Amino acid sequence: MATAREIHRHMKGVGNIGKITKAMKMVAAARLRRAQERAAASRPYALKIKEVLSNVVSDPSVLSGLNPKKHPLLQKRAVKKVGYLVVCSDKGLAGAYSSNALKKAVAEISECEDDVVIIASGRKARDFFIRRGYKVLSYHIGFSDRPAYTNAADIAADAAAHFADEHFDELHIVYTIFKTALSQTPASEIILPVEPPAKEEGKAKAKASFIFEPEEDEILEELAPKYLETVIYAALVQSAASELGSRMTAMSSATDNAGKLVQNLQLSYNKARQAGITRELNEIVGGVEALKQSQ
Amino acid sequence: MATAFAFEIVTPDKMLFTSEEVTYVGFRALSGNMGIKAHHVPAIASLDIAPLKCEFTDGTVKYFAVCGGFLEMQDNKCTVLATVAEPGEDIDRARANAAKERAEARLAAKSENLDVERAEMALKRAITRLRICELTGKK
Repeated sequence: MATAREIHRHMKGVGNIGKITKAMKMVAAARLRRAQERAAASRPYALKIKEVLSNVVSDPSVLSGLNPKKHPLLQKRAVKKVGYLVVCSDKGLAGAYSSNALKKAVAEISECEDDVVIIASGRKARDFFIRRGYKVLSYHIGFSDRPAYTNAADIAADAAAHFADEHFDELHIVYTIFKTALSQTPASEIILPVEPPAKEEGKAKAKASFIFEPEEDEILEELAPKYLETVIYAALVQSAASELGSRMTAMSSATDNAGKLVQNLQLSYNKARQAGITRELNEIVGGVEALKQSQ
Repeated sequence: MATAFAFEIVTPDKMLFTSEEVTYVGFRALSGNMGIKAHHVPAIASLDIAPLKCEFTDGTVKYFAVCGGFLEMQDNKCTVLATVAEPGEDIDRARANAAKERAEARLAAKSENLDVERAEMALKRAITRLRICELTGKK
């Protein structure tokens, strides 16, 4: 059995770790609230831009009459190479958040029979795919828990450039949908080529009379990249909230475990201390008895 | 009121501005200046980097610096989607001035790895902000 002093030292260590995980939990909780607010705040823009895009392409002749050179993002090609944009965290200590997203990505990739290239967002994703020898076209790191719109714009520009250069013919995004702090689900979507959203039923007729300033195809030229940015931004924001939620729960259970461990250690410390006292008393009593008998 | 319509500016970060009491919106589309009054026919426009003017039923006027984006007018409701937009009163004139000088210096230097397009955009944004400062008489 360990000595009282050793147990005491262990106890102190565990207690300190508990303090750290508690602090991390509180930081994650505070950030999570902000991330959720941001996710909510970004929704009107995303919805509206989707609506505008669907209005612009409401006339089917618009799409068929497009010059593919001018609208590289809308261009549909035979799929020979598939790109995966995997959104993960920069830091660990977020429970299974990163590994869940990566598992989802790997599952998708293993089903895909074409060549696969990766765009990584987040240090974990980058390291994972490089270590496993995937072809990583580019990576974007340093913002996973607080993405700004400009981060999404950078990724979108990067993805668009690779798509235009035919480094891939289709781009899937793998990210994590935030449901609650306790539950996040990894998901994947095709984001390139841009598929203009279909019109809602019932609204279709009234919209035929839009005035476009400038012409539809010129607006589309601006709108398609913006739409891509918005989709990526939404995914980043969802993933950030998921990361923080996951970190919060992970750190919360780590704190609980540390507390339990300290309790158990305290018990064995008390036992060890008491055992020491009893032993010393026995020795003293034994010594006294021995002295008495020798007299 | 018959002549008023709803107007909102939405950015990816937040709902920047909403009002039901707007009588006129003036802006610059990529194809030229445009103005919108109540009951305008449905329209979608792609915006240039330029000031956006907004008149209210009580006669007040508000300016916004809008850096690209889209405007949609539909069912007497006008929505501006901008990646970056700020109301006139938030503009920091000194900062805009500094940005303008910086962009001009970059363009004038003509170094080889200069991203001309980006510098020009920066210049345009700065000029837009300064123009709004002038329009509102802000120091």
